[in-house]
Amino acid sequence: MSEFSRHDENRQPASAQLESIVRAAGGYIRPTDDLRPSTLEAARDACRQRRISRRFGGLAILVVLLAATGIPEFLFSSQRGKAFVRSSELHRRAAQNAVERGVGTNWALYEVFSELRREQADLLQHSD
Amino acid sequence: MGQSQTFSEQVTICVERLTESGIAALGGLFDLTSQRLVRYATTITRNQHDAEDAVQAALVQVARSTRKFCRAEQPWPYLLRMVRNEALLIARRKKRWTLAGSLSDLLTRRLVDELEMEETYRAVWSALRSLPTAQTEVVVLRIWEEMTFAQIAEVLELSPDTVASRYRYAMQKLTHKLDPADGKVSCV
Repeated sequence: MSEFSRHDENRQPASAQLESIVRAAGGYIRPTDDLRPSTLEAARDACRQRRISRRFGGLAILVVLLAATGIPEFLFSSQRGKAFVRSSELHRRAAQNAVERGVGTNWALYEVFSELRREQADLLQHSD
Repeated sequence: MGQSQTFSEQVTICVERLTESGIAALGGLFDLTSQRLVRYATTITRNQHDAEDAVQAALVQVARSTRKFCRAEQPWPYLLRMVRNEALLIARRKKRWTLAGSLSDLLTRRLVDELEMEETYRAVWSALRSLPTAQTEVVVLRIWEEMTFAQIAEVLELSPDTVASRYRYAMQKLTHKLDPADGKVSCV
């Protein structure tokens, strides 16, 4: 402790008397009657606001996450819709080709597959 | 000093309740600390209405970030520091023009058996208001809050030596202003 602090331990009687006078005046003022209700109300409002902003914050994060994961998924699935074709559709196209061009069913199926692979390759290039 | 520790412990208990029950326990903390906080803030803002705004702002801050407040090792000095920061902000923002020694803003407690002491109390408050804020708050924390110089230094973020010297200068001025050796106290 410093010199001042040591000095404080050996207080003069007048100083002790002054301290007791000042101490007695400590209870002279009191808070106004409406401070308690207004403080508690303000605190409740602040907590309510905080809860609401937390909820909105959570909702915003959820929306951003959904957007971040959903948009690429949607784009991918729309591309996939174009790229993938059901086997029944391939067989239908092959049968149609075989009738229109007068080729064998196997050859028509081979051509339909070749056409499908070309389409898929094109889509893959565009997606890059 | 024992009394100060007791009060500090009471605040700690209130803070524990605040952790358990949340904002519902804020009323208890208010009841325990408001008078002390208001009188401390009044010495900084030099206006009781502004002081009450500071106390309200600090307690709302406590309600808003209860966890942070409850993590404080010594909640009472922490709360005093919060109120001090709010009071300084308000004092800087408002910069009220007040008559020297005017106590018209104070809401006082008038007990019948203390009526004869009222003049003394008013003289003390006037004398405290005539001191620089830096010195007044040291006197308030030392005498009314019964803190050690080390504890005050922690609240005010100063060195204990600076705090002790401010206290000594303040008491010299108060001795001159109040002159307790006469037996009659009046603000000179």
